[in-house]
Amino acid sequence: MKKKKVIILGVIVLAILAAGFVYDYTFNSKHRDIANEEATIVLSANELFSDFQNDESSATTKYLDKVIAIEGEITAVEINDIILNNQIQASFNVEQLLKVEEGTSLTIKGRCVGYDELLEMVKIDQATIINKF
Amino acid sequence: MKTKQNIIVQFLLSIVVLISASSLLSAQGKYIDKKGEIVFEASEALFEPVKATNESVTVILNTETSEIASLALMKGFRFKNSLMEEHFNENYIESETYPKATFKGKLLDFNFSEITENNTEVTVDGKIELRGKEKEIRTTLNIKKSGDLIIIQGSFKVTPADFDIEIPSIVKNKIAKEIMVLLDFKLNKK
Repeated sequence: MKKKKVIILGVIVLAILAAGFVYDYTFNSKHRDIANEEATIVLSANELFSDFQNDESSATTKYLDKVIAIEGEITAVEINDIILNNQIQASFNVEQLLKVEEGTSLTIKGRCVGYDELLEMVKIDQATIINKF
Repeated sequence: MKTKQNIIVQFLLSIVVLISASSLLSAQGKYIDKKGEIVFEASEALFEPVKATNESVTVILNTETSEIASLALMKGFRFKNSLMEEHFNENYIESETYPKATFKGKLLDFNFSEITENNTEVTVDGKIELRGKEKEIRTTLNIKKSGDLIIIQGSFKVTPADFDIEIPSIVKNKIAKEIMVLLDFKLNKK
């Protein structure tokens, strides 16, 4: 009799725990932390841009949502954004004044969001600067 | 002979001047926003909010022809709930296959010189393309100037069916039938 009670209690506790995990997974699962993810592709701004210009759909399959490291030269600095080689628009996560100057060569890391044919630019978000030359 | 040459040179020069003047003119009327904001909301009362924001929308307005074009990359829509974002991209929008939404249209009876620091209501008429489907949109925008910026704000409604998006019955009552789309653009002279 006592054994049965223990089992029932155990099942209830397990059920509550499971419900808790499901709830947590559904409502509180974390967003990706791009800054701490390893870049899976490393390439130059020119290569990335020409891949999208040549064949947008295969470039989309190849790069979309991937964390990539891009090397290029800064051609414009805007609030929260830098433009590389007039081809890549990289948005940084937090509103910050970027301490970089036009003409600097550097490597950034970020998530590829896709190709914007109105601007003729590849968009990157959640960018961070890896190194400056 | 010399005068003939002079005339030719003058003629060529005037063509060059004309061409550069006209290209200057067409460049004059272009306004652009690279960081426009679009929010969509499909929340139902009592359920978790279904809402996402894209802060990297491109908008180009030609004030001379009144043409307006906009582009939003689907992966740029950020949800508070990461699982919802995943479902949005993978199950509903299929952003790997259809990575962007575009709008091409025209402002009706738009006269740029009449735009002031106060909101002017302007009707916009055009087409949204998403998931390979086109949908006609006509809505009223509020347009005003603020310093050098042109500010465009507005909203419209769409339904998942407009773009052949099927909502599974299990979540049907958690997602609104009509989706509210809000836009907030700040355009700079190009």
